[in-house]
Amino acid sequence: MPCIAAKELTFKVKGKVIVKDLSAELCGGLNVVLGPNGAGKTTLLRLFAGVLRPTQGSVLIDGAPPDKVRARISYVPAQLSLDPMTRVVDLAEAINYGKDGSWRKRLREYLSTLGIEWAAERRFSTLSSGEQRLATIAAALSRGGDVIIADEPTEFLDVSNRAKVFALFRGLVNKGALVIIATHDVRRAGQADRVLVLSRGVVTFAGQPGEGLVEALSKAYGVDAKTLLEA
Amino acid sequence: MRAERLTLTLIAISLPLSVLLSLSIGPYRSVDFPVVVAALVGLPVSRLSLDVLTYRAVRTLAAGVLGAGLAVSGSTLQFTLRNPLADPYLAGVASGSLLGVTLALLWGRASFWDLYAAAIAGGLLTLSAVITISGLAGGGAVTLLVVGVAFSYVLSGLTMFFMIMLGPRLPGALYWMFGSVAFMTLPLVERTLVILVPAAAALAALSRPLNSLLLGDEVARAIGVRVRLVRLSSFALASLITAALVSMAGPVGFIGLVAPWLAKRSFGVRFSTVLWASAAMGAEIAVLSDVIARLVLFPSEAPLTAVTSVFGAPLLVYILIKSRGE
Amino acid sequence: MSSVQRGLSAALVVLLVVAILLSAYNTVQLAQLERQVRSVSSSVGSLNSTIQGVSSRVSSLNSTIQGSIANVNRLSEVASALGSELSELNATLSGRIASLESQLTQLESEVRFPVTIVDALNRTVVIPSMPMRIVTLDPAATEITLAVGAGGQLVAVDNDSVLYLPPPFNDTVHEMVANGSLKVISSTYSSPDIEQIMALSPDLVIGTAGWGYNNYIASTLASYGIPVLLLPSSESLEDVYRAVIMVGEATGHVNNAVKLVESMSAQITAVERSLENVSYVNVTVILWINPTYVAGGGTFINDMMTLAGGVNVFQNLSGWPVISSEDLLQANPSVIILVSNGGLFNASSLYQWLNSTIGPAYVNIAAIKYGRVYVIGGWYESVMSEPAVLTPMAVKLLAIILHPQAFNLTSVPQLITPSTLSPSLLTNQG
Repeated sequence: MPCIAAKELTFKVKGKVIVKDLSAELCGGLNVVLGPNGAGKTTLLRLFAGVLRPTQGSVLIDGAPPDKVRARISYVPAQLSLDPMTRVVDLAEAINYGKDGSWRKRLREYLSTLGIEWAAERRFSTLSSGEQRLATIAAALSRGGDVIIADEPTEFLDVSNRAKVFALFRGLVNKGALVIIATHDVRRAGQADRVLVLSRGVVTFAGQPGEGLVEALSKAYGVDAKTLLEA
Repeated sequence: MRAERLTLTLIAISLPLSVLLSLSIGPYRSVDFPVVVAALVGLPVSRLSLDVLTYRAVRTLAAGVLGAGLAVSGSTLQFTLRNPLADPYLAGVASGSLLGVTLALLWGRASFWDLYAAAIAGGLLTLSAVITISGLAGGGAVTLLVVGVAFSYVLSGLTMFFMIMLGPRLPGALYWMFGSVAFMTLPLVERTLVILVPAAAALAALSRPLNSLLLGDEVARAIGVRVRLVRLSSFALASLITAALVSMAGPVGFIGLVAPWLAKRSFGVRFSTVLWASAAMGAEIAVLSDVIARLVLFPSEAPLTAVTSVFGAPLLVYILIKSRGE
Repeated sequence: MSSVQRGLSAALVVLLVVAILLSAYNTVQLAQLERQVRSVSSSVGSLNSTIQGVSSRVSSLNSTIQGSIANVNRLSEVASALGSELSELNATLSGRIASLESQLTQLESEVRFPVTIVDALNRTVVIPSMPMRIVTLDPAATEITLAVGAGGQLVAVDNDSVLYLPPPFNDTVHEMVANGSLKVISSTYSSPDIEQIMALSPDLVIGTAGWGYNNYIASTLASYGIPVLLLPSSESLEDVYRAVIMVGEATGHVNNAVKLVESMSAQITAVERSLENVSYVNVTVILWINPTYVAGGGTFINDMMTLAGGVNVFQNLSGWPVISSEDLLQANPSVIILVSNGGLFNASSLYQWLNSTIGPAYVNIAAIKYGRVYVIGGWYESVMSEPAVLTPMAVKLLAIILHPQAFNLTSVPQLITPSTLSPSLLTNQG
């Protein structure tokens, strides 16, 4: 079970503090990061994935910084602007930089699990936005790492596809992966093993979903979260 | 897969045909298709026919090298700058070469090799300036693009200013403005290949990281690509190729833009494939364009870049429309 | 041995054979005459013996003898008439032989192939034997080639040469094109065509360096072993002289070339002599209006102006600068010479441009105030702008415009064309 540990993690851009003195440890399981816009979710995930370097503090994955264990990390970004002629296989090949050819098999498996196995050779521009998201997830996962960091994976997806994606993540967790997801889909919080609520760069809640979560969410979003969770 | 195989077959058939066509067409009508075949087969032909054929062969070779090189440069820039509308002239290299030539002419230098050296010098200086300034400003894709385009405009403006002072020496400079393969010689092509081949080989070696740049700088960095290094070096190599080609034959537009698109359409967005596929397609487009350039105003020649623009632009639009529709 | 030398030797042989045959014929005639004389002498001898036998027949024999003597006299007259004809023939033959011999020596002195020339762009051009298939790429090259006497060796000229040469060269070219001995290739300024030139199998190509695409044509043709001679793109009279000598060497007419240069320089000297005591006049030569191009320093026209007793008001600018009306007003030339560009411009074009930019103040320009604005048209234009063999004419033309009194003229017409100012004025010495 891989563990990711953030210690006094701070990230500043042009003097503005995005993430402040954050300490947390996530070991295995399906971890969901919640928080309003601008809370710092994307930045946090990027710091975890090694895309960004901390201004202060550290991120360690099983004791090593992310750029030393690149092969284990599968990062699914929130947006990708691609050349219109890019095919799904092309994206997957690009993501698998530095890895061998076994990704092709993995890609087809994940595409199949998500119900879009026909999309392998298709151009992204010919897919709907939902299909594009699914394809991106499959391509990122084809990297085959055991640390999966996904930023808004369920955007553009309808209810059944969302369920599929979460089921996929759950399956990976069962096989021993560490999954960290940032999302606006507050209802999914219930399915998580652990939830982090981020508000203005600071963790206001870290733990299993339960009563405290509702309070923290209400504070963070400024609305009565109970209604959100029940909807 | 079917599309790829079809495209490969098409290229394999049409490239030799285009070459034969190019050898058979020219103002000296006595050297026509039967003569070409006779010469290729080894039958004796007159000395004059051989000379004319050699002239056309060198010209065709130069066109092929030109098209392939421009395609390689254009493909690289489209990948490295993540911009499907990037073309080989983004770095302002063509403007730099033209300025170099104009200044050399003003200084009284007039022989072809002098001007060639001036063109290369101008192109390389511009490239260095663009890379240095972009590097200082971060070296990102947008920076390179903006600095390159800025240099392009500034240098073109300066060139126009100096060109007025040329007076009757102007046609000498026009050659470097319009692009032509009419004055190609073997030593010139060889010299160009000396730059082209190693640069293309270096780009081929950079295929994997360059390919991964399509994910965006952040994700690419996350998976271990040294983004800044790969971007600057591929930009430099691509522009070096452009500089060598512009110095050889003047600027010829559109091939560097269209050929990568055609390749991507058939083979997807995969740099190592697009590299050689666009090269083959670019070579073919260039050879055919030269044939057309010799036919439209027969027996005079139209400027090569006029042909590539007139036919290239609609072709690009057609590709765009077709790929949207699918 | 080239085909030329073979041809000449054959001609020589033929002439000698003819001479021999003529002498043989005359020898035969002489022998015949001799025989006739001998037979007459023997008749006289037999008559003599008959006289000794019969004395009474002396008087009749006497008269017969007289008659025979008269015959002999007539015969000797005929003989001497034939003899004088023979000596005439002899003289003619010796004359012909002598002229052939002198031509031979002249040819010997001219034919010094192979020739190596370093041309205007420092290219080493090797011409292995006397070129008989010359192609010229621009009017200046054509003019010089014709002027050194290599016209018979030309196979093609460029289209601009057909259109823009001054007399007498244009007539020569038109004649040769008309009778098919000269082909025309497309202009190397606007539509250069390598294949066309190659198709003519030239053994020498001559062009002015930097003119149109000549430099590129040269480098391409050179790689096929065709000698291409690039002449200095004249910026001074010395350049023209160099070009003439180069062409002379390259085509096997060195003596003609030298004579031509001497004659040109003599014409210039004559002009300078006429201008010995004149004071220099401020002048400008305008080549185009709006944008207004003038001849600056370091150009050929500048040189010509100086030789013609003028000072170029724009000599501090180099090349062909564009000037504004203010510049012209400030420079204040005393004479303005405008090139009409085929009738496109005249004096009022200049006034219109000046008026629209600096208003009526333009009349203060000295040249305009004193009515010394001249427009050059007709083929005088090409003589002015194409520095070549007729340049001394251009210098004289300029000199006449600037200092008519030095040439015994009271005035010069405002529009100067071959019909308003006779070309013969420009070729007379002094």
